[in-house]
Amino acid sequence: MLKLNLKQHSSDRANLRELHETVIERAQEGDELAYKELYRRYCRVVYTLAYQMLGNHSDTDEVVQETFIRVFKNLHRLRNTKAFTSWLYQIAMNLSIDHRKTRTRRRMLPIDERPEYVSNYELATTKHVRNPGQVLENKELLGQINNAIDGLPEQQRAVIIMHEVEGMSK
Amino acid sequence: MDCQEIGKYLLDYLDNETSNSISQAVEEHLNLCNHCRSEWEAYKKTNMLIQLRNVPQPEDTYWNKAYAAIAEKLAARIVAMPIEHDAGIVDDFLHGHGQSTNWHKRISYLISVAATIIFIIAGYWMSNKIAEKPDEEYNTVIVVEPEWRGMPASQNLHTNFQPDADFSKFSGAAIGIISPVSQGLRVEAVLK
Repeated sequence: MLKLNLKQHSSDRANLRELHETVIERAQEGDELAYKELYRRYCRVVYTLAYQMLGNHSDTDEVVQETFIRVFKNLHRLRNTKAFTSWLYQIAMNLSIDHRKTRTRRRMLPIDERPEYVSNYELATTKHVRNPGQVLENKELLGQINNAIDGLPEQQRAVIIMHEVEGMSK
Repeated sequence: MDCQEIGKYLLDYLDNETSNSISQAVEEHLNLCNHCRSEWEAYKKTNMLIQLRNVPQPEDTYWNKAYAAIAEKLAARIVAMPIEHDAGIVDDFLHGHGQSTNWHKRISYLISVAATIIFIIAGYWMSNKIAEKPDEEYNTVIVVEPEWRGMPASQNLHTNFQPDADFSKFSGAAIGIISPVSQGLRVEAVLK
Protein backbone atom coordinates (compact mmCIF):
# COMPACT_ATOMS: atom_id res chain seq x y z
CA MET A 1 0.00 0.00 0.00
CA LEU A 2 2.78 2.37 0.99
CA LYS A 3 4.71 1.34 -2.10
CA LEU A 4 1.66 2.06 -4.24
CA ASN A 5 1.24 5.53 -2.66
CA LEU A 6 4.89 6.35 -3.24
CA LYS A 7 4.55 5.21 -6.84
CA GLN A 8 1.45 7.36 -7.25
CA HIS A 9 3.28 10.31 -5.67
CA SER A 10 6.28 10.04 -8.00
CA SER A 11 3.95 9.65 -10.97
CA ASP A 12 2.10 12.85 -9.93
CA ARG A 13 5.41 14.69 -9.65
CA ALA A 14 6.44 13.49 -13.13
CA ASN A 15 3.09 14.63 -14.55
CA LEU A 16 3.46 18.03 -12.90
CA ARG A 17 6.97 18.38 -14.30
CA GLU A 18 5.73 17.46 -17.75
CA LEU A 19 2.87 19.96 -17.45
CA HIS A 20 5.30 22.62 -16.34
CA GLU A 21 7.53 21.99 -19.34
CA THR A 22 4.50 22.14 -21.64
CA VAL A 23 3.62 25.57 -20.22
CA ILE A 24 7.17 26.78 -20.87
CA GLU A 25 7.11 25.41 -24.42
CA ARG A 26 3.80 27.13 -25.10
CA ALA A 27 5.18 30.36 -23.71
CA GLN A 28 8.19 29.95 -26.02
CA GLU A 29 5.71 29.94 -28.91
CA GLY A 30 4.27 33.25 -27.64
CA ASP A 31 1.09 31.91 -26.00
CA GLU A 32 -0.20 34.71 -23.73
CA LEU A 33 -2.06 32.32 -21.43
CA ALA A 34 1.18 30.45 -20.85
CA TYR A 35 2.91 33.75 -20.03
CA LYS A 36 0.26 34.49 -17.45
CA GLU A 37 0.55 31.01 -15.96
CA LEU A 38 4.32 31.33 -15.59
CA TYR A 39 3.88 34.74 -13.99
CA ARG A 40 1.26 33.38 -11.59
CA ARG A 41 3.57 30.54 -10.54
CA TYR A 42 6.73 32.54 -10.05
CA CYS A 43 5.79 36.16 -9.27
CA ARG A 44 5.83 35.67 -5.48
CA VAL A 45 9.18 33.91 -5.44
CA VAL A 46 10.73 36.56 -7.70
CA TYR A 47 9.21 39.26 -5.48
CA THR A 48 10.73 37.67 -2.35
CA LEU A 49 14.14 37.35 -4.01
CA ALA A 50 14.16 40.97 -5.16
CA TYR A 51 12.80 42.26 -1.86
CA GLN A 52 15.50 40.42 0.08
CA MET A 53 18.11 42.09 -2.11
CA LEU A 54 16.53 45.56 -2.18
CA GLY A 55 14.52 45.92 1.03
CA ASN A 56 11.61 48.04 -0.26
CA HIS A 57 8.49 47.58 -2.40
CA SER A 58 9.12 50.28 -4.98
CA ASP A 59 12.51 48.97 -6.14
CA THR A 60 11.25 45.38 -5.88
CA ASP A 61 8.27 46.19 -8.10
CA GLU A 62 10.56 47.61 -10.80
CA VAL A 63 12.81 44.54 -10.68
CA VAL A 64 9.87 42.09 -10.77
CA GLN A 65 8.41 43.77 -13.86
CA GLU A 66 11.76 43.99 -15.66
CA THR A 67 12.54 40.35 -14.82
CA PHE A 68 9.36 39.03 -16.41
CA ILE A 69 9.70 41.33 -19.43
CA ARG A 70 13.20 39.97 -20.08
CA VAL A 71 12.12 36.40 -19.45
CA PHE A 72 9.18 36.58 -21.87
CA LYS A 73 11.22 38.42 -24.49
CA ASN A 74 14.10 35.91 -24.41
CA LEU A 75 12.24 32.71 -23.59
CA HIS A 76 12.53 31.43 -27.19
CA ARG A 77 16.31 31.34 -26.72
CA LEU A 78 16.13 28.98 -23.74
CA ARG A 79 17.13 25.57 -25.10
CA ASN A 80 16.76 23.51 -21.91
CA THR A 81 13.30 24.06 -20.42
CA LYS A 82 14.36 22.20 -17.26
CA ALA A 83 16.72 25.08 -16.49
CA PHE A 84 13.87 27.61 -16.56
CA THR A 85 13.67 28.32 -12.82
CA SER A 86 17.45 28.72 -12.35
CA TRP A 87 17.49 31.00 -15.40
CA LEU A 88 14.58 33.07 -14.08
CA TYR A 89 16.14 33.49 -10.61
CA GLN A 90 19.49 34.39 -12.10
CA ILE A 91 17.90 37.15 -14.19
CA ALA A 92 16.05 38.47 -11.12
CA MET A 93 19.26 38.35 -9.06
CA ASN A 94 21.35 40.14 -11.70
CA LEU A 95 18.71 42.84 -12.09
CA SER A 96 18.51 43.26 -8.30
CA ILE A 97 22.29 43.68 -8.06
CA ASP A 98 22.23 46.25 -10.89
CA HIS A 99 19.32 48.05 -9.24
CA ARG A 100 21.20 48.23 -5.95
CA LYS A 101 24.12 49.90 -7.69
CA THR A 102 21.77 52.45 -9.29
CA ARG A 103 20.09 53.04 -5.94
CA THR A 104 23.42 53.63 -4.23
CA ARG A 105 24.04 56.45 -6.69
CA ARG A 106 20.48 57.75 -6.18
CA ARG A 107 20.93 57.75 -2.40
CA MET A 108 23.35 60.60 -2.82
CA LEU A 109 20.18 62.72 -3.27
CA PRO A 110 18.64 64.47 -0.24
CA ILE A 111 16.23 62.21 1.69
CA ASP A 112 13.07 64.23 0.85
CA GLU A 113 13.63 63.50 -2.87
CA ARG A 114 13.07 59.78 -2.34
CA PRO A 115 9.88 59.60 -0.28
CA GLU A 116 8.73 56.21 -1.65
CA TYR A 117 11.53 54.44 0.19
CA VAL A 118 10.39 55.87 3.55
CA SER A 119 6.67 55.31 2.97
CA ASN A 120 7.03 51.66 1.95
CA TYR A 121 9.41 51.06 4.77
CA GLU A 122 6.88 52.46 7.22
CA LEU A 123 4.09 50.47 5.59
CA ALA A 124 6.08 47.30 6.22
CA THR A 125 6.63 48.09 9.86
CA THR A 126 3.13 49.32 10.78
CA LYS A 127 1.04 46.75 8.91
CA HIS A 128 0.19 44.51 11.85
CA VAL A 129 1.00 46.80 14.76
CA ARG A 130 -1.32 49.28 16.44
CA ASN A 131 0.71 50.34 19.48
CA PRO A 132 2.79 53.47 18.59
CA GLY A 133 5.56 52.46 21.02
CA GLN A 134 5.87 49.06 19.38
CA VAL A 135 5.80 50.65 15.93
CA LEU A 136 8.78 52.78 16.89
CA GLU A 137 10.59 49.82 18.42
CA ASN A 138 9.92 47.62 15.39
CA LYS A 139 10.97 50.39 13.07
CA GLU A 140 14.28 50.72 14.89
CA LEU A 141 14.82 46.96 14.87
CA LEU A 142 13.93 46.71 11.18
CA GLY A 143 16.24 49.62 10.45
CA GLN A 144 19.07 47.79 12.21
CA ILE A 145 18.34 44.56 10.33
CA ASN A 146 18.19 46.37 7.00
CA ASN A 147 21.45 48.19 7.72
CA ALA A 148 23.10 44.92 8.73
CA ILE A 149 21.88 43.22 5.54
CA ASP A 150 23.00 46.18 3.43
CA GLY A 151 26.42 45.91 5.05
CA LEU A 152 26.86 42.25 4.10
CA PRO A 153 29.04 41.31 1.14
CA GLU A 154 26.84 41.19 -1.97
CA GLN A 155 28.09 37.78 -3.11
CA GLN A 156 27.32 36.19 0.25
CA ARG A 157 23.84 37.65 0.36
CA ALA A 158 23.15 36.56 -3.22
CA VAL A 159 24.24 32.97 -2.45
CA ILE A 160 22.00 32.71 0.62
CA ILE A 161 18.99 34.30 -1.06
CA MET A 162 19.31 32.09 -4.13
CA HIS A 163 19.50 29.05 -1.87
CA GLU A 164 16.44 30.16 0.05
CA VAL A 165 14.46 30.90 -3.09
CA GLU A 166 15.39 27.59 -4.72
CA GLY A 167 14.23 25.87 -1.54
CA MET A 168 10.89 27.70 -1.83
CA SER A 169 10.27 26.41 -5.32
CA LYS A 170 11.18 22.75 -4.63
CA MET B 1 36.60 15.81 3.05
CA ASP B 2 38.56 18.84 1.84
CA CYS B 3 37.47 22.50 1.88
CA GLN B 4 35.97 22.34 -1.63
CA GLU B 5 33.74 19.37 -0.78
CA ILE B 6 32.70 20.93 2.54
CA GLY B 7 31.75 24.11 0.66
CA LYS B 8 29.19 22.13 -1.35
CA TYR B 9 27.41 21.01 1.83
CA LEU B 10 27.53 24.24 3.87
CA LEU B 11 24.19 25.63 2.73
CA ASP B 12 22.38 22.30 3.16
CA TYR B 13 24.02 21.93 6.56
CA LEU B 14 22.69 25.39 7.40
CA ASP B 15 19.15 24.16 6.65
CA ASN B 16 19.71 20.85 8.51
CA GLU B 17 19.24 19.00 5.24
CA THR B 18 22.41 16.90 5.36
CA SER B 19 22.60 13.25 6.44
CA ASN B 20 24.08 12.38 9.84
CA SER B 21 27.40 11.23 8.40
CA ILE B 22 27.77 14.39 6.27
CA SER B 23 26.79 16.62 9.22
CA GLN B 24 29.42 14.94 11.37
CA ALA B 25 32.08 15.36 8.66
CA VAL B 26 31.18 19.05 8.25
CA GLU B 27 31.31 19.67 12.01
CA GLU B 28 34.71 17.99 12.29
CA HIS B 29 36.06 20.00 9.39
CA LEU B 30 34.72 23.29 10.79
CA ASN B 31 36.46 22.60 14.10
CA LEU B 32 39.78 22.21 12.31
CA CYS B 33 39.64 24.73 9.43
CA ASN B 34 39.59 28.47 10.24
CA HIS B 35 38.85 29.47 6.64
CA CYS B 36 35.74 27.27 6.35
CA ARG B 37 34.61 28.23 9.85
CA SER B 38 34.68 31.95 9.01
CA GLU B 39 32.76 31.26 5.78
CA TRP B 40 30.24 29.22 7.73
CA GLU B 41 29.83 32.00 10.33
CA ALA B 42 29.24 34.54 7.55
CA TYR B 43 26.56 32.32 5.94
CA LYS B 44 24.92 31.79 9.32
CA LYS B 45 24.81 35.52 10.03
CA THR B 46 23.47 36.35 6.55
CA ASN B 47 20.85 33.65 6.78
CA MET B 48 19.72 34.80 10.21
CA LEU B 49 19.38 38.43 9.10
CA ILE B 50 17.48 37.43 5.97
CA GLN B 51 15.11 35.26 7.99
CA LEU B 52 14.57 38.16 10.39
CA ARG B 53 13.64 40.53 7.58
CA ASN B 54 10.07 39.61 6.98
CA VAL B 55 9.10 40.21 3.37
CA PRO B 56 5.79 42.07 3.50
CA GLN B 57 3.53 40.66 0.80
CA PRO B 58 1.81 43.34 -1.31
CA GLU B 59 -1.97 43.52 -1.57
CA ASP B 60 -3.73 40.97 -3.79
CA THR B 61 -4.57 43.61 -6.42
CA TYR B 62 -0.86 44.32 -6.89
CA TRP B 63 -0.15 41.09 -8.84
CA ASN B 64 -2.74 41.77 -11.55
CA LYS B 65 -1.70 45.41 -11.88
CA ALA B 66 1.95 44.38 -12.17
CA TYR B 67 1.09 41.80 -14.84
CA ALA B 68 -0.88 44.41 -16.82
CA ALA B 69 2.14 46.75 -16.66
CA ILE B 70 4.45 43.92 -17.81
CA ALA B 71 2.16 43.06 -20.76
CA GLU B 72 1.94 46.72 -21.77
CA LYS B 73 5.71 47.29 -21.62
CA LEU B 74 6.37 44.02 -23.41
CA ALA B 75 3.96 44.95 -26.23
CA ALA B 76 5.60 48.38 -26.56
CA ARG B 77 9.07 46.82 -26.78
CA ILE B 78 7.98 44.17 -29.28
CA VAL B 79 6.41 46.83 -31.53
CA ALA B 80 9.60 48.87 -31.30
CA MET B 81 11.70 45.83 -32.20
CA PRO B 82 12.44 45.06 -35.87
CA ILE B 83 10.81 42.01 -37.50
CA GLU B 84 12.93 38.93 -37.00
CA HIS B 85 13.81 36.41 -39.72
CA ASP B 86 15.96 33.32 -39.65
CA ALA B 87 17.00 33.37 -43.30
CA GLY B 88 20.71 33.92 -42.84
CA ILE B 89 23.18 36.73 -42.66
CA VAL B 90 21.52 39.08 -45.16
CA ASP B 91 18.20 39.00 -43.31
CA ASP B 92 20.06 39.36 -40.03
CA PHE B 93 21.74 42.42 -41.45
CA LEU B 94 18.54 43.89 -42.78
CA HIS B 95 16.22 43.10 -39.92
CA GLY B 96 18.40 42.32 -36.91
CA HIS B 97 18.32 39.65 -34.21
CA GLY B 98 20.00 40.41 -30.89
CA GLN B 99 21.20 43.98 -30.30
CA SER B 100 24.92 43.28 -29.92
CA THR B 101 25.21 40.39 -32.39
CA ASN B 102 23.24 42.44 -34.90
CA TRP B 103 25.79 45.25 -34.79
CA HIS B 104 28.68 42.81 -35.04
CA LYS B 105 27.11 41.22 -38.09
CA ARG B 106 26.42 44.59 -39.70
CA ILE B 107 29.96 45.83 -39.15
CA SER B 108 31.58 42.64 -40.46
CA TYR B 109 29.21 42.69 -43.46
CA LEU B 110 30.14 46.32 -44.27
CA ILE B 111 33.86 45.59 -43.83
CA SER B 112 33.71 42.62 -46.21
CA VAL B 113 31.79 44.67 -48.82
CA ALA B 114 34.29 47.57 -48.53
CA ALA B 115 37.26 45.17 -48.76
CA THR B 116 35.83 43.58 -51.93
CA ILE B 117 35.29 46.99 -53.58
CA ILE B 118 38.83 48.14 -52.65
CA PHE B 119 40.27 44.87 -53.96
CA ILE B 120 38.48 45.25 -57.32
CA ILE B 121 39.54 48.92 -57.75
CA ALA B 122 43.14 48.17 -56.76
CA GLY B 123 43.28 45.20 -59.18
CA TYR B 124 41.92 47.29 -62.04
CA TRP B 125 44.36 50.16 -61.34
CA MET B 126 47.37 47.84 -61.07
CA SER B 127 46.55 46.06 -64.34
CA ASN B 128 46.30 49.44 -66.12
CA LYS B 129 49.61 50.56 -64.65
CA ILE B 130 51.35 47.38 -65.79
CA ALA B 131 49.90 47.69 -69.32
CA GLU B 132 50.98 51.33 -69.63
CA LYS B 133 54.51 50.87 -68.36
CA PRO B 134 57.09 49.98 -71.08
CA ASP B 135 59.07 46.88 -70.38
CA GLU B 136 62.40 48.46 -69.44
CA GLU B 137 64.40 45.29 -69.79
CA TYR B 138 63.61 44.65 -73.45
CA ASN B 139 62.57 48.05 -74.88
CA THR B 140 64.94 50.82 -75.89
CA VAL B 141 63.86 54.43 -75.82
CA ILE B 142 65.32 56.36 -78.72
CA VAL B 143 65.50 60.11 -78.52
CA VAL B 144 66.05 61.79 -81.85
CA GLU B 145 67.38 65.33 -81.59
CA PRO B 146 66.51 67.55 -84.59
CA GLU B 147 70.20 68.48 -85.30
CA TRP B 148 71.09 64.79 -85.70
CA ARG B 149 68.75 64.63 -88.58
CA GLY B 150 70.39 67.75 -90.06
CA MET B 151 67.14 69.62 -90.02
CA PRO B 152 66.72 73.13 -88.84
CA ALA B 153 64.82 73.45 -85.55
CA SER B 154 62.12 75.47 -87.29
CA GLN B 155 61.33 72.66 -89.72
CA ASN B 156 58.15 70.82 -88.98
CA LEU B 157 59.42 67.38 -88.06
CA HIS B 158 55.95 66.14 -87.38
CA THR B 159 54.92 66.34 -91.00
CA ASN B 160 58.10 64.68 -92.28
CA PHE B 161 58.22 62.03 -89.66
CA GLN B 162 58.97 58.59 -91.04
CA PRO B 163 59.48 56.32 -88.11
CA ASP B 164 60.96 53.28 -89.80
CA ALA B 165 63.53 55.09 -91.90
CA ASP B 166 64.70 57.69 -89.36
CA PHE B 167 64.98 55.47 -86.35
CA SER B 168 66.74 52.62 -88.12
CA LYS B 169 69.36 55.14 -89.28
CA PHE B 170 70.08 56.59 -85.83
CA SER B 171 69.70 53.55 -83.66
CA GLY B 172 71.99 51.45 -85.80
CA ALA B 173 69.88 48.38 -85.25
CA ALA B 174 66.40 48.32 -86.56
CA ILE B 175 65.08 45.38 -84.72
CA GLY B 176 61.39 44.87 -84.48
CA ILE B 177 58.80 47.65 -84.60
CA ILE B 178 59.32 51.27 -83.67
CA SER B 179 56.37 52.92 -81.93
CA PRO B 180 56.50 56.69 -81.65
CA VAL B 181 55.65 57.83 -78.13
CA SER B 182 55.87 61.51 -78.81
CA GLN B 183 56.36 63.58 -81.91
CA GLY B 184 57.74 67.10 -82.36
CA LEU B 185 61.13 68.74 -82.52
CA ARG B 186 62.54 66.32 -80.00
CA VAL B 187 61.17 62.96 -81.05
CA GLU B 188 60.93 60.04 -78.69
CA ALA B 189 60.12 56.50 -79.69
CA VAL B 190 60.34 53.02 -78.32
CA LEU B 191 62.33 50.41 -80.18
CA LYS B 192 60.87 47.05 -79.36
